Amino acid sequence: MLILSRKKDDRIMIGDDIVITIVDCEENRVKIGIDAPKNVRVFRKELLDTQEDNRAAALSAAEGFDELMKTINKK
Amino acid sequence: MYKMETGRFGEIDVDEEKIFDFKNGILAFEESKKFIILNSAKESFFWLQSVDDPKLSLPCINPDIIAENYEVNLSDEQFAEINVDENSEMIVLCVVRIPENIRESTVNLIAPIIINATAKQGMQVVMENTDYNVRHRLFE
Repeated sequence: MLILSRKKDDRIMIGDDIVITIVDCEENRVKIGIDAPKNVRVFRKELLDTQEDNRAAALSAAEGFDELMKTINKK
Repeated sequence: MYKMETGRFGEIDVDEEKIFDFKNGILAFEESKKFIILNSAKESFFWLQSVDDPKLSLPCINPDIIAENYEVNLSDEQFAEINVDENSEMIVLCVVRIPENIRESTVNLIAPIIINATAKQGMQVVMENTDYNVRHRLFE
């Protein structure tokens, strides 16, 4: 993985037409601007992970959920 | 009240009054717009059952049993999507992923199912500005 150190307002080019801008930077959070062509799909990783996990949850066995209820020692 | 044949539970009774509209569906199942909540054998454990896709149901839990003081952090605009106001009765559920080894089970705390029970509208939102993650382990 390429790791770069950037500060606020710095930019990174990916290829010819994707521009990443560091909009703001706090202690625990970075605000990033992304300019990309319309055909480049930009997603937060959590969104794709949630799609994947929703699909997996829909396939979860009911027996597993029953077992889980018994195992988790809370109401 | 009417009867519906589901993939997981056989025939169930559906109370039209308790159907929640999800105008955007839920992630990966955007075409499913109507859901009901089915109780399980245990308090705090539920199934989110699609009404328009009888085969679709997701195990969910009340996140409070896993994350103390679980916080739903959404903008006013996001709450407005399901017409939340100060009088709305809210239901918050988190989807559980249960692999074959149940000790590997995780709960999605970053993308809760949020339901305005008063307006009968719901949505799933991937929260921003939160420290919760997609795969919070139920067992250490």
